[in-house]
Amino acid sequence: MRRNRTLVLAAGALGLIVLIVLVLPVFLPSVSATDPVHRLLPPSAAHLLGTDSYGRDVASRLVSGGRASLGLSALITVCAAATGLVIGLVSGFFRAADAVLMRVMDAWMSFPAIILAMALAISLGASLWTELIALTVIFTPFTARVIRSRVLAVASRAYIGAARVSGMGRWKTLLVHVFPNVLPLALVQVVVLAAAAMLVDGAMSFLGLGIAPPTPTWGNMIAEGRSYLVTAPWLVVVPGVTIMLCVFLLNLVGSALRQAVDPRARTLHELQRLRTRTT
Amino acid sequence: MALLELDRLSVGLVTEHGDRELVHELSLDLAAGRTLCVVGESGSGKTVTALSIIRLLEFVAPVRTSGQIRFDGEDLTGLSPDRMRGYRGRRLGMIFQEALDSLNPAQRVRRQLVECYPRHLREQAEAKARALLTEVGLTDTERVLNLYPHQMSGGMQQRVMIALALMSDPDLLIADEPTTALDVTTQAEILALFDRVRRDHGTACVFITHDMGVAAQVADRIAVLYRGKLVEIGDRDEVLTAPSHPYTRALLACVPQLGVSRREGFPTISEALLDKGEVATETLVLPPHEHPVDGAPLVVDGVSKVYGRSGRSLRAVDEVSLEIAPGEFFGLVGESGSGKTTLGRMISALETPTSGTISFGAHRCTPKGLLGSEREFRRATQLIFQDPQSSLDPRHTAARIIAEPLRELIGLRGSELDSRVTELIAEVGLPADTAGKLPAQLSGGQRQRVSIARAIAAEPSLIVADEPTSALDVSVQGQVMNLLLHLRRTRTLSLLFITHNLSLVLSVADRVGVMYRGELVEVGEPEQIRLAPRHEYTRRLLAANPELPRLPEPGLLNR
Repeated sequence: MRRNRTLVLAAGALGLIVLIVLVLPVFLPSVSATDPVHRLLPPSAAHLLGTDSYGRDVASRLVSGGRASLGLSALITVCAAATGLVIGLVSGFFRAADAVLMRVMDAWMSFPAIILAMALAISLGASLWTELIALTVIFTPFTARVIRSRVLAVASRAYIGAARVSGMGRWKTLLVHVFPNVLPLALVQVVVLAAAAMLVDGAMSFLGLGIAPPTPTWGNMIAEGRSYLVTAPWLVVVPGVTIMLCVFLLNLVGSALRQAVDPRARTLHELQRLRTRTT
Repeated sequence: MALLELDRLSVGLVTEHGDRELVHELSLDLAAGRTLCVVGESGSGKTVTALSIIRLLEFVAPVRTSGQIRFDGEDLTGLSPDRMRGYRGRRLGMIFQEALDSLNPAQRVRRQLVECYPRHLREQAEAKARALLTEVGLTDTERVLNLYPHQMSGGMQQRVMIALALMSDPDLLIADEPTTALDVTTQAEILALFDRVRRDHGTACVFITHDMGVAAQVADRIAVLYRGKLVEIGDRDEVLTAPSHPYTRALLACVPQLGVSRREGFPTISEALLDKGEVATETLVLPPHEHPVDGAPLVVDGVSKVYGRSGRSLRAVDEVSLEIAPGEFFGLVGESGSGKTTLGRMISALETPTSGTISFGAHRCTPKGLLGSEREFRRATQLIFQDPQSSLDPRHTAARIIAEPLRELIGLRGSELDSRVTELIAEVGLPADTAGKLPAQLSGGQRQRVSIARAIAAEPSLIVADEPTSALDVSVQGQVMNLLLHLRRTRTLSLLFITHNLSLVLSVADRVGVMYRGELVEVGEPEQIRLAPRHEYTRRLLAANPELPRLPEPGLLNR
């Protein structure tokens, strides 16, 4: 019961954030309206989260930056999860493909992730699309490996052999028997991936390699605000805490989902609960 | 005074929908130095009882215990966790079923044996470890002490476990199915060893087993559990030869025995009869043979399977030749590693032989793979897997599982498919509402019926059954065997029945083959194998086979 409550609360809070980001910009002052007279104002009734160095409303920028940051993270997650899932399924199930695909993934993962992403972004020019491509490339091997190990476990089950005895082809078996049994884990993986994507996306736009200003993102808001860290700390704290909150909520959802999906994790969790109760 | 006394012990599992009672008001006692066998089928509460005595259950499941467990006069249920820890190991020893899982894979035997001794007593401890290892038959102590668990065979691991449990001279040993995972010949050695060691040390013992034959060998007293309740307790001979409760009688009747033919069907335990009273076994009447047997024999000709490259290769199957006539029930018996499963997988074309040919009618299975249409071959040959738990996709309903070969091999669709699935579900004796259920909602026996329905769906003329009953309780084993016997009467069907259970296969098969280290060492009719075994290994198997003393009243078999 407690497990489900965590899941519902965390997912609900995330849903609320998404809703705010989608709906609220309509009601808030313009994102790009500069007002040099009212620059670096602390939070007040007129400007709930203060203003930045150009006198722009931080609340508006935060909410609208959320569209870019959340949207892009979601897109990256979907792309990386999809490619990772396909590669993981194929390489876990077909031994010949496995040798090739996994060596490629190993080589891939031996590059430091953020530097690889930077190199890609610089060579292709910073934009939404390059960031999408760069981060998809980075996250694919991680997903692929997790999925593959699960596929290997499923493929050794007797029902895969039974499918063969029943005359089912390999590809169909992969689709009908392996994929559905891997799916729960893939869902957990998606949530974990989303949290990681948010963090790396923040770092990329902080470094100026993501969506370029003046379009606000949480990452580039921190980058712009860091010169005023002492005089106007809210410029950094507000987007920073927001990223943190989102990642924290995603991780909560992730571990609650894992417990729901993986009986071993669930048993562990219940035992811990029991131990705390008996001592 | 008794060393151990259970006084109306009840154990309930705490769930979200209230408590579920696993053991109900169990009372029994055990004197010092005696062995009590607790016998029961899965779900009878025997393991729960064992783990409750040593209070390990509370670490793995949320349970509520009532009643008393008095050990040497002290009620263990009331002890604080700290004081209970003083009892575990020191006074209560435990031996688990899976020795490999219970030993630490990252530590050598030496460290695990001396672990519980304080540092300044290490030398004494090691001397003791050596003495105990010698006693359990591992005389090569220096080498054994330096081994890791995975470097030992199953039998050696269980010997080390026994030595480990004896390190602190416990007053009571609790052994939970210590030989179930072992081969019969190893089991016989371990049981003999166990008995000797126990007598030498004067240790009392609670021995949990599902196997009446094992209980007959080690017990002083036997307690029979059924659904969490004690149905009978008494001296061994009394329980085995003059059981007072119908469930005990039924359980004994279900155990396959050497020299008792079950070709006309196995007795099974009927819960309906059990609720009513005296006799709980029933035997179904098999229909007469309906089909004339014709068709092609299965011919296995000089087949070998070698794993690995030359140098470090393993000959899993070595030059095996045999022939199974149409309609024949051929039993293949052997211990783990004998190659029986590999041979079965080659015959069902899941593996290709390294050399030799398997022919079945027009189909040929050669080192180059399966010649001809795989679809045609699969229609003719089907496989029943050992573990119904893992051979059924947990996300597919029974109906979908049974429909799979009908779709893939016969090409049935729509209402025709549905009605065929319904027929098959009825034919294997499952209730109609099974169709919509997932494997997790079915019992072990029901799952195996589903996998049998899947195997017969395409109307094969040969079924390879790889240990189809070894994961099942004896009473359920009888039901599944009856189903196989029934199917063989109503269809044109040959069976290759692979098993490690000698009594079982000798009681039903037309002919039996014995495999040992990849070779087929002996083939013959059951009576000939039982009475006049030609090969040394067959004789060893027969000698190790756990047997029950004969029941004095054969009328109990209800025939």
